[in-house]
Amino acid sequence: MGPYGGTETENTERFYVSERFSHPSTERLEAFVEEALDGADRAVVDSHLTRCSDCQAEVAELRTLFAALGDLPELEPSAGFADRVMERVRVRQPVLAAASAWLDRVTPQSTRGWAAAAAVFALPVIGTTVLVAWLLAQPGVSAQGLWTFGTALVGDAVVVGAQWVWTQLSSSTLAVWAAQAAEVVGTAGAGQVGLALVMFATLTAGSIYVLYQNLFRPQQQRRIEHASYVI
Amino acid sequence: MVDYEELSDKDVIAQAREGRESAFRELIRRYERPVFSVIYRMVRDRELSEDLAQDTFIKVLNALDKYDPSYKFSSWIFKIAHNTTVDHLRKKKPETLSLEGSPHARTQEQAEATSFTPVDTSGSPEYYAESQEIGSEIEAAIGELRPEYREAIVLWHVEGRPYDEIAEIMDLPLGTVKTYIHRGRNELRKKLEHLR
Repeated sequence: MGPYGGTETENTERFYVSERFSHPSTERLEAFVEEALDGADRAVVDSHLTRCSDCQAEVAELRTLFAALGDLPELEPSAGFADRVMERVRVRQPVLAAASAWLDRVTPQSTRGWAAAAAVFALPVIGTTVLVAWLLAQPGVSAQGLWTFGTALVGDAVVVGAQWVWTQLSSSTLAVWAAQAAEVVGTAGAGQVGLALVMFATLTAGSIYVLYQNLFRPQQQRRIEHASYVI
Repeated sequence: MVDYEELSDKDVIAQAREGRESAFRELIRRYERPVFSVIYRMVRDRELSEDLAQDTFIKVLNALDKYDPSYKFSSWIFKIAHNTTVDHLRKKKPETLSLEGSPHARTQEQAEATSFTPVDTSGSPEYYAESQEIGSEIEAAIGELRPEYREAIVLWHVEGRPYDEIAEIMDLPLGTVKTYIHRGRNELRKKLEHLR
């Protein structure tokens, strides 16, 4: 039941019938000129127009305005516009671009994708939890015993790993250089050590500046809002 | 050699993301006129329009990696042009605008350098003169509209953007955009009454 007592269809028909005798609104005539009315709507306005010279004149005026606005030319920026833009655009090297594209491909693009990735990464945790629970359920296995066994196992692995790393480092050229550098520093005077520290600080500051220019600064220019996504 | 003419915006963007400068230039070629036109009709100052259009392209092209291809590129670039221009206008109170050049121009040369005469060179000399006159009248009338009506009218009538895209670009509800365009047309009809 519609607001005027009839069904929605009946009310629509009444509206159309009444429009044959009263003038359509300007919005409706604009929609007519835009060809945005559907078949039935269009027929009603068409039928009114055949009998109403005022509305015919209004439609003609709207058509003229639409045509005049549509005829306005697109304007062109001055020569060299593209060059001026490109001077400030960062075009990445193809290798970096490929690396970034690969990262984009492997990075989940939707909530569902992230959920799947999280599930994959959660599998080892879930597996370990299930294993521990199962072990604790076995007769003769206590939590304290399992903890002692587990920490001993991890401790052994850490010690073996650390020994391997130490062996590798101590036999490397890097270790020889480090020993030589320590010897030089040990025998150097305060002035030499100071000079070395100043050089080190200068190089560090230079590196930080270069990193800032190349990695972080362009991103600050990217505060761009998208319709429903923010860059 | 890639023939960009045949490629869609999304394909050109894919090429740009691979580090091809020519693809960046193709995007500029495709959008420099529409973007510049909309900005110019919003601010009515050639130099300023160039700066704002330049800023728009720099922002867009430096952020192509973040572009979501499920959205239309045209909506995105127009939205950034809108935001860049509106940010500028917010910082500075809009002034009465003139087709005769920048309101900041102090000399005739400066005024000429910042002015525009929309020209349609098609047709006969009579048509050319007439269309130039009518075009100037319409440009002047558009310039007197409220900025939000002006932008909506230009996007719909000159750039041919659909209502929903304009709503996205201007970050307004669809109904508000339709109202702005309707009111803008009404004002234009009143302003151009003398041409009937």
